[in-house]
Formats: sequence, structure tokens, C-alpha cells
Amino acid sequence: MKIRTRFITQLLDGVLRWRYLGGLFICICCVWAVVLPLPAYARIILPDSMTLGQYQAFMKSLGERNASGAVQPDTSQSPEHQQEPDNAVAPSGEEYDSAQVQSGEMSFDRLTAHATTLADLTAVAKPLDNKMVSFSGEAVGDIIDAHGGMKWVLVEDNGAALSCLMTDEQAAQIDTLGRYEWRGTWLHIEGIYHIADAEESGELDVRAYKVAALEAGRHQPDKVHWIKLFIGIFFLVVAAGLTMYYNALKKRSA
Amino acid sequence: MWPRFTRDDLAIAIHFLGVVLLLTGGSMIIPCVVGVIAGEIDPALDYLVSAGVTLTLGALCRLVRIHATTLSARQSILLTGLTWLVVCIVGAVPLYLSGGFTDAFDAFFDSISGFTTTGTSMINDVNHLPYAHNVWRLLTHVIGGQGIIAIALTAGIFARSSGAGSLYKAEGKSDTILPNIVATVRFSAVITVAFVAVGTLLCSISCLANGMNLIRSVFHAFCLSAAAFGTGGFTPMSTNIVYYHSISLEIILMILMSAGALNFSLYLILWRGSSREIFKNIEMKTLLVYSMLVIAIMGASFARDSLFSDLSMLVRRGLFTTIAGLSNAGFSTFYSSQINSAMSAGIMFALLLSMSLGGATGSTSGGIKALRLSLIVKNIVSDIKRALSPDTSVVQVRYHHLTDLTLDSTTAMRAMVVFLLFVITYLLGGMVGVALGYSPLAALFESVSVTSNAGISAGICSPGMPRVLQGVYMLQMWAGRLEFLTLLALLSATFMIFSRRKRAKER
Repeated sequence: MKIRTRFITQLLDGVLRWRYLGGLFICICCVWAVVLPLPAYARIILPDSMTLGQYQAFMKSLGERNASGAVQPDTSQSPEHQQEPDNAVAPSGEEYDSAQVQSGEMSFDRLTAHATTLADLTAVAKPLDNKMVSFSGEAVGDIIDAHGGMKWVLVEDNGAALSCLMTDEQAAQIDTLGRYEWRGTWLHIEGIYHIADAEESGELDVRAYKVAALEAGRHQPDKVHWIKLFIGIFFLVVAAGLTMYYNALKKRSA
Repeated sequence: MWPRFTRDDLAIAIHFLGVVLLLTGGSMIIPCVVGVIAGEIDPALDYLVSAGVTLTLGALCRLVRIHATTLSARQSILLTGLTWLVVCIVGAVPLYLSGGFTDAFDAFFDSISGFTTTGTSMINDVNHLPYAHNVWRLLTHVIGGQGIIAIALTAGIFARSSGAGSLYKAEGKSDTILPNIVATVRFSAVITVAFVAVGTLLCSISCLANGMNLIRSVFHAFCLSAAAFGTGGFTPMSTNIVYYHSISLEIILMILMSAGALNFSLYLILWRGSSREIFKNIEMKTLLVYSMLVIAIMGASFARDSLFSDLSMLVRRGLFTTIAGLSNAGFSTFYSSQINSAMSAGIMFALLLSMSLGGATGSTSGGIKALRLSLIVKNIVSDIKRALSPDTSVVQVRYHHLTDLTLDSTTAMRAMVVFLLFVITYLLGGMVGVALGYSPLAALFESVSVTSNAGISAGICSPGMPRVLQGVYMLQMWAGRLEFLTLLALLSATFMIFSRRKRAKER
């Protein structure tokens, strides 16, 4: 108790000694937290992107629709049928417009999905920001819980990896997650791409709309090179011999 | 006249280098054992081979000189320079054998990045990396963060040789709060273990709450805690801290990074019950004022950015990345492509500023160090005072850093020299980047990041980057970690050898 009182006294003493620095600190904090982000406050009051609630409502309606006719995976995107990145806009359909989606004037079904690759998306594809994209990749790492019963899944293709937000049901299609000696489930994903997702504090992500497992995960055992064992033992024996020789020399010269 | 390294100096340095290599080889047994336990046979064999090669090399080096008991300041500098070079080379062997790198040069880059606690990586696919290799990457941070030579001192390898103080200083460390160097280094190790243990526990809980399984939670928590406190930057997943999507984890890591960037001597003073040191210490004051300045610039830039002007982005990601930059930990909650392509120049500039200074002296972070900046500012103020005072007056500058001190011209000049060397290196690295076609801001950002051993990347450091620039960055990481003294001493010695040979030929 005595130590605690002493600590508080010293703390207060420090703050008082620092009255000028403390004042400066408070001023900067006020400017930083209140004045500077005024445009940000305006944006919070008037959001221009789809909110989590709207997204969940949309996913719920999607679930109801899938109950009548499941989404068919596009097998042409499987790793065996990989195509060159194609950013061409499909001939039919509409561009994503968050305002129209929020007002109910636009349906996700009619949106154009821009076929692309994870390499393009992770390199910040500005023309695709806030648009429906489709790509494929391997589910790797872990399935991370997100707010509102959603899941985060890291999807990787050719070294490029991107986090995708999806429903529990969509994530349930993943039978294996890619790790050492394991190839994860190959997924085909359609969703809205965000360069800085306002709902996720500025994350580069995709909010999945359709998720289809194109190929189940599998075990890919690493080849064991037993020659390394012999090389390793050989060098260890040499090192031990040299150390003994050094010790002998040291003893002799002492 | 320039002091020259003699053949005797080299022999003694190589002898002790051998001892350090034996220690490094021994540490490779840890990932080997982890690999066996995790059922990763081939990666475990990579470490068996690497350990064998390193131990053999170490044993050979020891044979160069049978009896070596004393180490002069010159020999200490030579030993430190050689140690950091050779240990980084042998540390790259298992990384290259892993097959995760395009070639040996990339593996060497990662090894230097690991040992210097920079954290930028050339690895092709970290998401499928076995536990054994992840543990080794982490170990490079732990060994490098504490200091290769410092760990050797802790292990008592140089116990019977004099020159521990020179070795300690040659590795870029300065403060000694305990009566001797070995005790100081051991105290640092105890502090590190304590923070990493608590951090691992808290991060594990956070990861478990996020739905990760127990083993992966503990493993990831340990990797993140050790890298955060060691101000390293390697993570087990390619998307860095973005992967975890966890505010609680980010808060824990912010605390660990901040703790790692403070002078370890402060912990001892706090332990002894004197909390007043925190408020009196000039370095702490400088760090606080500098942080506020960077945060203010960051806040202003975020507010004006078209994409990142949301308050939550500023508070969560902006603050995290600023602390990661200030502590030189190099973690990021942004993709490097976001930093380079999506953010405004103001945000990049604020991050660049945060990385350039670094943490406190006697911490694991790199960069210019807050103490040097405060001494330079104090010296400037005293010069102005002197100019305004009568000729007969004596202006004395006092400051408090662990104890009450008077600023003398030698200390101020030393601080200024290191400051200038850092700034020149930042600019030179940036110029090489610009010459190779990168944008000036991105090139300067990356140059500052590698020199200060921060590791936040604007996307330049990636597999396939120009070899010349990769080489320059490796040199910058090495020079920045050893705070130039060792590098310059080695370069001057090499220059003297060449000039002597030239003169001999002319005769």
C-alpha cells in the first residue's frame, strides 16, 4: 500500500513538473482526435458503403435463395484449369453501386463479377474497388471468428493472400486448411472487393457473396532427403573431432 | 595515423568467432528438435546439416589460435563485424535448404533481416512454412535482438577474456546499469523472458478467443510476443498482423512493442522502486514528444485521405502502425501494397518519420535513438544560449539519463555523427531506389525502414527485387544494427590494407 501511494505521488509529481509538456500533449490529442478527423465523423454519420447489418441481411436472403437452387461452382477456375487473369467486364449485368444496393434498387444477382486473380487484388486494384470480383485460391492458415457470426478465411494463390469475410455456412465448405504438407481446399469466391473496408477499419478484403469448393484439400507429404542425415552426422563427427583436437592442443601447450 | 589491424588481431578475432559459431550451431538444435516433435522430418534434417556445418566451421576457426585470453577494443570491433557477417551467412543455410527462397541470396537477405531484427522477408510462401523454419526465423530475432555478442557474454564464453565492455559497445549497446556487462546482459535476458512469457499467455488467450486451436494459438502467440518485444517483425503468416483480425491482440502487441523500445535499464530502476526516472529521463520525454508529433501528422494525413479518413482506421490501424514504426518492430495492420498504392503521401511520410528515430538506447530497437536526438537539440539550445550570453559566462547543459549528467562537446559530437550517418544512409539508399525506377517516397520509405531495422515495407522488398538494391539494403540493415562504428572501422581497415599493398608495389 505504501509503495502504491508513493508511486501515485511520484506520478502526480511528474505530471505537475511536466505541466507545459502535459498541456501540449492534451492540445495535440484534442486536435488529433476531434478537429482533424471531422470529415471522418461526417462519413460515420453518412455511410456510403454497405454496413454489416445490410451485409448480414443480404447473406440471409442469399441463404434462402440457395435453399431453392444451390450455387453451382465454376469448375473452369480450378487449379487444373487456371486461366490468365481476365479483368474484362462480362457483357451483361450491372456495376456495383452501394447506394443502389442499400436502397434495394439493385440486386447482387445482377452484378457483374470481374474475373481476376489474387495477385491483382493484393496489389491494390483501384478500378475494382467496391466492385464484385471473382477469383480462386487455396484456403490457408486458420478460420478466424469475425463479428456477427461471420468468419475470416485467408485465401492464397501463387504467394498472394487476401482475407475474405464469409458466413459460417460458406466457411464450412472448407475441409482442409493449407499448411506445411497440406494443401487446403481450393475455393472459388465471388464478392465485393474493398481497398479500405470502412466496416473493418480500413482492411483490404473481399466480402464473399458466393463461395464454392472446387477441389478438396489433401495431404502432400514432403519428400525426405535421407542423404541430409548422413551429411549432418558427418559434419557433427568432424566438428567433434576438431574440438577434441583443439582441447588436446590446448592441454599440451598449457 | 590510422590504427591498423594486425595478423594477430585477425587470429584472435577468428578464434572467438569460432566460439560464437559453436553457440550458433548449438542453437540450431532447437528448430531441429521442434521439427522432429512436429513430424517435419525433412526440415529437421535441414537443421542437422546446418548445425553440423556451423559447428565444424566454428571448431576450425578456434584452431587458428589456441590461446586467446585478451581482447583489445580494436579486436572487439573486428570480432563484432566478422561475427555479424558470418553468423548471418550460416543462419541462411537452413533457410536456403528449406526451398522457400528463390536462391541463396534471398535466404541470406532473410537471415540478415532476422538477425538485425528488421523483419522484411523474401520468402515465397510463408503460409506453408513448417514449424521448424518458423522457429528458426524467430530465433534469429531473439539472438539478434539481444545481440549475438551479448548472448555469448551471457553464456560466459568471453568470461575469462578482458574486453567485454568493448564488445558490448561494438555491438551498438551503451548503457550498463549493473556493475558489470555480463550482469547487465543477463538482466536484459530476464526482462525479455518475463515480457515474452506474459505476452505469450495473453496473446494465446486472444488467439483462442478468435477460434484458433490451442497448439496454433500458443505457437502464434509465442512468435508474435517474441517478435514484438524483440522489435523484430517476422510473423508466421504472410499477411502479418492483418491475419488475426483481433483488436485485443493488437493492443497486447502495442504494449509489447512499446516495452521493447524502452531502455532496459529503466526496468531495473522501476524494479528498485524509483518511478520518478520515467518522468525525469530525457529520452522518455523526447520519445513522448516525438510520438505526439508523428501521431499528429498521421492524424492529419488520415483525415485528409480519400480512402482512410474513417476514425476507426485512424485509431486502430494508424495508431498500431505508428507504434510499430516508432518501436521499429515493423508489424503492420496494412498490406504493403496499401501503403504504397492506396495511401496518401502524408500517411507514408508520417510512417517514415516514425521509423527513422527508433526507440531508446539500451533497447532492442534500431534507428537513430531518442537520446541522440535529445542531446543534439540540447546542444543546439546551448549554442544559442552561448551566443546570447556575455563572453565571460559559462553555459553548462545538464540532462538526466539514468543519472544526472553534463553534456560535453564530445558526447554531443558523437550523437551528431551517428545522427548524420543515419540520415546520409537513409538518403543514399533512397537514391539507389530512385535510380532503379522506384518512386522517391517509396524508395526513401524502404531505405529508412531497412536502415532503422523497422521492416515495414512499401512493397519494394519482395522476391524478384533488383539485386543491386537488395545488396544495398542488406548493407544498410547490417550498418544500422551496429550503428556504423563497426562497419566503418572494418571498411577503413580494409582500405588501409589495400593502400599499404599499393604502396609496397610502388616501391
